[in-house]
Amino acid sequence: MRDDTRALIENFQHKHIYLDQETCNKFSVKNKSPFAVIEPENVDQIAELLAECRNSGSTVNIWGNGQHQILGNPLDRYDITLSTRLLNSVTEFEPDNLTISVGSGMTYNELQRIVGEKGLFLPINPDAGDATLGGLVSANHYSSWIEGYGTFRDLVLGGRAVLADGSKIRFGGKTVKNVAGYDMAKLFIGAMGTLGVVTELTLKLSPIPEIVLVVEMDINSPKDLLPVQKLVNTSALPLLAFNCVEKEGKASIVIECGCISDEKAFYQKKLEAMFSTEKLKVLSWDEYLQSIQPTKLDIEKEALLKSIVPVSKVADVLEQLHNDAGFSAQQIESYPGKGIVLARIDKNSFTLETLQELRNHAHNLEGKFLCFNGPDFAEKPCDAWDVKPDQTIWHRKLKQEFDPQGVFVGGRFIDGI
Amino acid sequence: MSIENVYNDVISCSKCGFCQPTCPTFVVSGKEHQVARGRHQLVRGIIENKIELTRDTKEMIFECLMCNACYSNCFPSVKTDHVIAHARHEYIKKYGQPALQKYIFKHLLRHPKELANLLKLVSVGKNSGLSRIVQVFRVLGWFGRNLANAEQLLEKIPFKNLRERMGEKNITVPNAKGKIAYFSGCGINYAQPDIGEASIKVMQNFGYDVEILDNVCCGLPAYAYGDLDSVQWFAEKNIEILEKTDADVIISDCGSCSSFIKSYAEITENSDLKKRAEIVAAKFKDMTNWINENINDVEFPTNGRMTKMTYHDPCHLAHHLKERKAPRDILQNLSHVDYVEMDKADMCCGGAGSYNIAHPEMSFEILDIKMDNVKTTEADVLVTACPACVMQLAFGTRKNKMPVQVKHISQVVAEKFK
Amino acid sequence: MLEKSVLKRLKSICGKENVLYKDLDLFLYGFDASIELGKPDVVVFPLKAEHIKQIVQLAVSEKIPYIARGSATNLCGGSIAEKGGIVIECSKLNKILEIDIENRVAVVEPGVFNLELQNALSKHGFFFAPDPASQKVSTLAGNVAMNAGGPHCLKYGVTVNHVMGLEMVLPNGETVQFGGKTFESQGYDLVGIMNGSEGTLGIVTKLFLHIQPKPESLETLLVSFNDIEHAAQAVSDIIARGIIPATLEYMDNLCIRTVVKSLNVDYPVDAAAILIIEVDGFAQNLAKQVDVITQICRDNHAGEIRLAGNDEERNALWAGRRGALGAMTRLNPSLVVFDGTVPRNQLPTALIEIDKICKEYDLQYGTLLHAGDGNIHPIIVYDERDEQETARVMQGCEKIMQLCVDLGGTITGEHGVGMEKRKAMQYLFNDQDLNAMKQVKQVFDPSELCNPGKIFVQG
Repeated sequence: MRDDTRALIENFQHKHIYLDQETCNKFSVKNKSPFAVIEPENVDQIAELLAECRNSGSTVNIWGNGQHQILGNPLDRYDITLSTRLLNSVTEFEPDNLTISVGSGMTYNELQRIVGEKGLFLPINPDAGDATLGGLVSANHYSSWIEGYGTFRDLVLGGRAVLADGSKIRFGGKTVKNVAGYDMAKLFIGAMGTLGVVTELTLKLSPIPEIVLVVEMDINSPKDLLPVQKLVNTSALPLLAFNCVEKEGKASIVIECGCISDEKAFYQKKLEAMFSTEKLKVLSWDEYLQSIQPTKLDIEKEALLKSIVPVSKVADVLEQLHNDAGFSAQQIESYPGKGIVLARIDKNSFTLETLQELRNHAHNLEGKFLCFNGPDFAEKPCDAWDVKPDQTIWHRKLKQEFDPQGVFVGGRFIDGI
Repeated sequence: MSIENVYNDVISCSKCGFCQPTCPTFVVSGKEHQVARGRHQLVRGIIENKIELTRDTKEMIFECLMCNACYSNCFPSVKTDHVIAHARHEYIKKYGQPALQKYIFKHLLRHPKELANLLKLVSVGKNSGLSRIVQVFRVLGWFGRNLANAEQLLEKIPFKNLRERMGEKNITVPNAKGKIAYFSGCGINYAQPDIGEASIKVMQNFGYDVEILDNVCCGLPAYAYGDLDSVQWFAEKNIEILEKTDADVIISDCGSCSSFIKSYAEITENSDLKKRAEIVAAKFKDMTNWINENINDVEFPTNGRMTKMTYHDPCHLAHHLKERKAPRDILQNLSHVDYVEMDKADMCCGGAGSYNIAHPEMSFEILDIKMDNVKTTEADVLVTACPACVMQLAFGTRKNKMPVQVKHISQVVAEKFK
Repeated sequence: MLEKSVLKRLKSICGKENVLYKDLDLFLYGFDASIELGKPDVVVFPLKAEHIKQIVQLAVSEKIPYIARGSATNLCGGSIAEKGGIVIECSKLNKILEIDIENRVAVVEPGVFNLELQNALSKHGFFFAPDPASQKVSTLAGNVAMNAGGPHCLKYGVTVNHVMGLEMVLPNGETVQFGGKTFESQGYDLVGIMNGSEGTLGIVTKLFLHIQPKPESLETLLVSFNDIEHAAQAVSDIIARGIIPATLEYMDNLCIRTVVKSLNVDYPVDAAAILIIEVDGFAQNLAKQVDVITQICRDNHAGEIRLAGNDEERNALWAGRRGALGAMTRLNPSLVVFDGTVPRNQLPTALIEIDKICKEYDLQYGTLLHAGDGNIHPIIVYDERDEQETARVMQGCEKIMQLCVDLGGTITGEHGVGMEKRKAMQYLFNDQDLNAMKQVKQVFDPSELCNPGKIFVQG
């Protein structure tokens, strides 16, 4: 253990501190383990910890439940894990207002259970599971419900955070409409814990749809997606999700709509007519949730490729993924309404050249290509992110302003932030 | 009469800026001093002594079309034309009224016979003081913009004005349903008697006796130039004349005259006159309105050729009198008319009385926007309901070599009886 | 006063006719739709984005404040040149560059009016969801700067939810594009932070906006209530059932009486409140939604329920709401509209307390609400020539903002902070919160020349 870290631990008299190797190893990221794991109970303790880190020059990695730790590039120096596990209480739940304020360490499942009792839900897909809300927000997690409800950008109304300098701030509020000053929430969403420790979140909830209608259609090639995409993108259907899933060589398009029971008959007819199909499933919310089988990324084996292109280019990306030699996708899921393609690929099945080719292809389509948990290309590591230099400057400047000493662990984020 | 009279109006302007997209001068220039909001603040600044009424303010005060398109989009309903007329009044009080305007408003327009004779002299080309008369018409703005060419102007002044053409003051029909008093505006009477004839023909064919009134100018030109004292004279004189008729209804086929006469009560300060003005206003109708109310009682010949028509809203009808429905109803109900609505139909054509003469560049640009919108409709006939618009629009079609006929709505209806 | 050399440079950038600097011209650029005033030193009309870049570079090198301005319709003094400087008027950058239906994106210049884009999109059966009341005249860059709301926010969200990318000239004089035609999902949300930054972090030169298909049809209901609690409860119940109306407008008794009197509309004058509820979607499906809403309103003791049978009737139902501001100004010439927002379940309390405040300060007012969002618009009418009355209005407004904060809401839901509410920011945020925001300003505009003095109290 480094001397400065030792000093820090001595100064930081906190009961939830773990120094044993076994615990520390549980919080390793790509083979890097911390020297200490700390579980603060409140913001004051966090501020205190950060002060000690500033004094000692130690770095902190914020940890919810660890699901998103593999995202991004390898970490630089990693001294301490700040676990948000104990920040898991409900501060305020106002069902009538469709908002809830919770500690960032609350898990996704726990939140859904609490709000579900009032017929509400947080419209972020169930594949989030045990992830904490802080983690989900910091990683800007999304999946197929993005079509109907957007991302955390649209769902986080406000919250609290502790910044690197120890200041405890409140941002946003409890209302959808709020233009009092800068919308600081936007900085913390997707920031991967580089700007501050988010401690509380106020989230916008939605009423649970009484009925879910699901249309599933098999397709033979990515081109088959185009006419469906055109139809869906120009209709004002109450979509929950619109995705295209390829698994084990079989591809299908799934369209999911939510409505109240009174509207069931109408949408049933409407969807049947639109997609000339009678293979329509009419499900209750619970049945629907059960029908979704979240699959987690196999961190050992799989890399996650993420391409974001203008919506009409999704089929192009899918074709490119197929055409690339030596490529074997475990699963490709795309959201044609948003221009997003997510592919789970065997880590060892592709080279840096393949990746570069895919990235160039995406750029030609005015899009981006990201690669998470990829293999270690020894000679020239591949950047997980895909941000243009004129924008990385602003990321770096923001980081420099909010965390000049680099208290929050670096390396992982854009431009090595 | 003082600029203070409009203090309440300009205070009511909430500076919301809703006037911007509707104001033709703003659409062209994009500048704050060429939109109602800016003009209101200018006048407010003058009243509150924050701004001096210098000659620099002249352009700002005089470049308003007074079309009142802003008023149609103004939630506190500030009447910009009213504000501007008072600002212009204040300006001429301070810097004096140009001699020519004084001659026109204080003399010529108050003596219709003299005006008629003068025009006749121009018309037969014997007049030595031609240039002066040309200037008169510049101010009155009845003749479109090709005024530099006196030859062209001569061609266009009809030798006989409407009253002379009709001869009789009272025109009767058998079994008349009633009697109409016809207010013949200057634009119709002296420059566009064809339109007046068409209107009278329509009234006859609808089964009404017509009395052609010996009215004077409605006073709007004087109002537009800020000569508010003359406006009082015209109002009083016309009210006197209009009170005398025993007709059930008084009609003008000039949207500007109709709206201005109906607003006499607001303009006059004399409370007795105000009351009399209200009674007159209640009897007064614009031709479009009257046609629409009576058209269903008339049988039209059913033959004809299908014609595509579009309609341009004269500002005084659309923005002052809020009459947009009647002309459209008429055109949509007439047989063999394929009516097509143009984009921004209620945006001024840039004619605005004599505005086109005083501010040709601005007027040109506004007219170009109008002509583009007309072109898109591919209409054969461009219909409107004001003689000043007819002239400006006809000029626009000539200038752009467009195969579009410009007609007053009375002419469109009258042609059905051919 | 500007140095002659600066004026000369500005003229060479934009052309002589696009630079205004005479006293009289500047006087007319000293206001926006708020009651704040401040005179610029010069007004320039850039004709292309490159001009904006050159102007900003000049301003920064000469240390002159600069402010982007669109239609200046904001209600908070956001585009006032409080500290003088250069007003960069973007009204001539008004072209719709591209409507890309395939990718559901519209690319526009900053000075395009919101409604103009709507009209252009309408031909394709699409729309841009944010529709502030000022949409006829407010520019899209202005909408972004203020993160504008509008009656359709409840269902479709505010401006930021529909902005995919922004090209900007930043205070360092560089042009940079954040986001674009793709859904942005990596890094700090710079597009997000720019929305609602009131033009203090840079100047938008191009916008990439998410567009969506227009609903097929709509239905409009007018429902009266005898007390505000039931009206508020009905709103909550409708939303909780899973029906999100396109608009949910509330009008109080004072407003109802005023519009009935001055606009001659047929509203129930004795109602404590009315709701105008509009649902949009597929024509054949709307009847179902209307049935559900009607039942919920009945369950909440609604008085009269009217359903518009056609467009004419729909317009009649809306006439009073649309004319409400104008009708109020007939009571007194000046008006101020505040836009505090509270959690929806606090609406009844907020309305009762606002009434108390207005009585305490002897203010003539009526209230409109975007009820679904808890966005309260107390419309206070007064005569700004009466200094005492004006002072009372300002005090009352401060109290109302304080109230909204106390009820868990915010001082401004859609109009912005600007000059008008910067003091009130302290009701909502403490020094640490505000410092964090100032750090963002520091990152983008360290010399504090870009729309200086807005949002934060100086010093």
